[in-house]
Formats: sequence, structure tokens, C-alpha cells
Amino acid sequence: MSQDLLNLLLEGSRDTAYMVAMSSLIAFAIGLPLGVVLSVTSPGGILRNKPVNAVLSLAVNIGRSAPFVILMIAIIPFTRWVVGTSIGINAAVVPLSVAAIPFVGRVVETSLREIDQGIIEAAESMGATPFEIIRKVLLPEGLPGIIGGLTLTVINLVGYSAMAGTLGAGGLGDIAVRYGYQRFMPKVMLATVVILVIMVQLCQIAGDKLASITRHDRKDLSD
Amino acid sequence: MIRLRGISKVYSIKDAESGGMRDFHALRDVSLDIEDGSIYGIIGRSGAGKSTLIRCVNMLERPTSGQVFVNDMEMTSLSGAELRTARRKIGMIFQSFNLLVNRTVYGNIAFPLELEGWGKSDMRDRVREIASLVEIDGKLDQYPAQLSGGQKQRVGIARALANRPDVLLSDEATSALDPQTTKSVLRLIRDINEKLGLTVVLITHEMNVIKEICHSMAVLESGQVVEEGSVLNVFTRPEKSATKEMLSHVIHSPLPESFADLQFSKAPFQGADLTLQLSFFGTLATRPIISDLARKFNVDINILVAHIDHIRSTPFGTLVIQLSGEEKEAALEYMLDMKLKVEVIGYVARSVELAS
Repeated sequence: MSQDLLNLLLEGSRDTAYMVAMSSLIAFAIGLPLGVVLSVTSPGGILRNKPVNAVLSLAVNIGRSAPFVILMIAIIPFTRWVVGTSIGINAAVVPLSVAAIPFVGRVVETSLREIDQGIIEAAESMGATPFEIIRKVLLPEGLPGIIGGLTLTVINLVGYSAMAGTLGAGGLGDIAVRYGYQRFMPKVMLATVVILVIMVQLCQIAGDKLASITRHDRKDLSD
Repeated sequence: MIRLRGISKVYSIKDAESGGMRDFHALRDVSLDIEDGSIYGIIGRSGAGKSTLIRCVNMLERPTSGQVFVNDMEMTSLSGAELRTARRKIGMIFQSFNLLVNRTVYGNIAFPLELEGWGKSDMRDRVREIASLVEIDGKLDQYPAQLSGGQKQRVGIARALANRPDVLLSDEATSALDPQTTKSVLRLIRDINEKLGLTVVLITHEMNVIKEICHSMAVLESGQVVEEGSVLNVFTRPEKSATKEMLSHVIHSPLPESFADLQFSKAPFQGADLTLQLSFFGTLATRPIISDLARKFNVDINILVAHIDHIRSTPFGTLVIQLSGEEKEAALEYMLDMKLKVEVIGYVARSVELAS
């Protein structure tokens, strides 16, 4: 494999990593509060609110039911409005984030729902405000679950970013299509796949490790 | 002083048959006075409403009607920040402990102090102090998952006491624990009550818990208080069948099995023995009543069942005896005069009894 191709793969990996990292950050930043709001406004939550919950839940479901390829094309005007163009890695971050936000929201909501109601009741009995309950009870207690969900999000984004690559975003997906497929270079195709597998694997290992560090609800894991 | 005035709680629940909504009365017009510094037990079967009742004290459940006063503060009129401030002076412990699983023992005990905005060093001192009071000071760095049930409840108690509340609410705090651990946790609650002088309100479905530590008690049935008073009075003179049934496991020794099929007659007849059940408590329990009777009257006394127990530290006894001989009625009169609680089970023919 020539030096040029190696450089190309390196660049592609960097672009993919950039797209995944940026869109993950944006999706966490918006999805985390979204998930918290979904959880606390649900029936039985500490700030139950039917209208808010129903509206957000509907929005999340719509966002999650749109296939990524379609979503990406459908929001091109929005992408242009945000970054000024619809091509390139920065442009790809927009649909990637938009696709991941509802997913993160649901993942966070699910993690928070698994927290024992009794713990929340205990905090209420000690005079905690709803905000204190969110900050000191819900988030720390739900953290291992949230980390597990975020790991899943990052891995999904690796896949989505490859898809975005084929539509002009650059990155490994773009290389796989242009070189591996259109120029019949199976070695390049294989290389992109291997790099993607390694990326996913690294994310999973890091996520699992982080989740286990923050998890204290099992006897066999000391600290 | 905790005062409940006419507390009712109505839930709207789905009717299984019609599918529509109907009202479910969890509590009906409950009024109670709980003295400062006492341990007050509320007993009832599951579904009697005791859990709802104790949650009405700190407004985890808001009564549909009625008033709750804690130290002259009307809890039912509070909301928001005022309610949260009032709650900080009411500690609560739970059947399932409800500790934060991702916080250490230290972090759990410090939690209410963090909410109150304590400084770091004050907090550390207070956590250490309260942890040693409940004898959990060696475990401060461990997580709840590494503790036994009894240790978890000790952490729960420490957390509830951390910011020096006036009242401790206990929601079936020992129901998930084995008998041995239950005893030690109850002893701890009693010690705390004596040492710190705080008022304890507990709910339980076990008479033994009441017997062990409570001063006063109420029996809750179908959302209503059916019996109330000092534990000694309720135990020795239970009036309602619900109370009697719950007491039967701890106090009233049943007749021996061979007596179960016998026909007892209320009227005396020739050659019959008189069967009596005696209950006595306090100083009477320590008096030699049987030998007294035997000396004073021409009777033979056969002890069928004997049982001495303690309510807190007051001795409490139950005795089933059979009297035979000419003066058995006179002996009965004598016992009634002594203010012994005597229940006449009946007369039974000696021969019949022997045959069985």
C-alpha cells in the first residue's frame, strides 16, 4: 500500500474521529438534559408534567424513527443555516448530532427510571429540592447506566459517520466508497473496515471500564 | 408533640369490575396524639393504611383532608421551601434502607448535611460522631452493597439522625431483617430515643416490635384507628378482634392441643374442674399467686400453660390453670379481688379430660 494511501487512511480516520467526537459531545450536551426532563416529567417523576412529557416524547420518537440517510438529506437546509455548507465534516456533525440527541435522551431516561423510587423518596424526606435530587441522586445513581448508553451512542455514531461519508462528508466511509468500491481497491475497503472495527472496540472497552469504575451496587466489585 | 387531626386519604383507583374509577379510602378520619420523647407504634396488617399514615406526617403523602401538626407546625399548610425546611427536622428510615448505592457510608450519612449546606470539617466531625453512635464507624469508606442488612439500617438511622431531628419516622425498618438483627436495631432505636430524647413514630406489622420498644400504640384497620393507648393497656385489655388476633402470636398462649376438642361448660357441675386463664403484669407478675391460692383455699391447682414475657421492661404473664376442690369458686373470687385479669374458660369434667 502506497504512502499516499496510508496518508489518506490516516486523514480519513482523523475525520471520522472528529465527526464522532463533535457530534457525541453535542448530543450528550443536549440529550442529557432532555433525558432528565423526560424522566422527571414522566408520571411518577419528581416534577410530573403530562403536556411537557407528551410533547418531548413525541419529538424524540419522531427523531428516532427517521432513518439516518433520510434525516441527513431532509435537514440539509438546517445544516446550511448552521454551518454555511452541506458538504464536509463540519456539515456532517449537524445531522449526526440531530440523530443522536433523541437516542441519548431515551438512554438517559431509561437509566434514570431504573433508580429505586425509595431512594428518591428518602431524598425528598430529607428536604431535597427537585434540582438537588437530580444533581445528587438521579445523575450519580444513574451514572453507570448513562455511561453504558453513551458508549452505545458513540458506537452508533461511528456507523452513522461512515454513512455520512458516502454523502460528501469525508472520513473513512468516503474513502471506502471512493477508493474501495468505485476504484476496485479491496485492500482499502478492508483497511477502512478494520479501522472502524478497532474504533468501535476501543469505544466499547473504554465505556465498559468507565461504567465499572462508577458502579458500586455489586458486592464483588470493591470500589 | 405530633398531632394528627381527622386525617383522611382518598385515592382514585381503577375499578377491576366496571373499568371506571372509584374512590379508595386509605385512611378514614385518623386522629392521634404522640407525646414528645415517646416511642409510638402503629400496627396493622398490610393494606391497613399504616404506610400512608406515616407518610402523612412528613407530607410524602398529602392527606385529602385533616391536619398534621409537628411541634405546633402545621405540616398540612406547608409547601415548597417551608416544607423542605420542616422535613429536615424529621428523620425517616425505611424497610428497604433506601441508601444511595453509588455513595459510600460516609457519603450517605453526609447527604442531609450537604443539603443543609454544612462546611466540610463540621460535616466530617458530625458524620464521625453519628457513625460511632450507631456503631458503624469502621465502615465509612465502604459502599452499601458491601454491608449486611443490619449495617445498612444502621447507616439509614445515622443518615436520618445526622442533622439532629426532633422526630424519627420508621417505616417497617426491621421488617427486612432477621430476628437477631431486628433485636439489635430495635435496641439501637430505643437507646437513641433515651439518649437524644427524640420522638419515634414507627409502623410495623409485628407485635413483637411494639412489645420490645414502644410506649404507646395504635391499631390500624381498614384505614381507621380501632384501638389506641399505652402498650401495657392494649396488651392486657385488648378490646377489638383485630388487636386480639395480632396479639395471639405474642401473648395469649393457646390451650394445649388435647384441650382443643373439649366441651367447656359455663355452669359448674358435679365433678368438674374450673379452667381459667390469668393475665397479670407489673408487680403482680412477680407475686407467688399459685402458692398463695393453695395455702388459703382448699383447692388443687394444675398449671396447663405458663408464660412470662416482658413489654419493654415490665413483666407480663399468662397462665392457664385448672382448679379442683370445694373452694374453687372462693379462690376465683379472691383472684378477681386482686385485680388479676381472669378469663373463665369453663368447667370440664375431670373424667372426660383424662379420657382424652
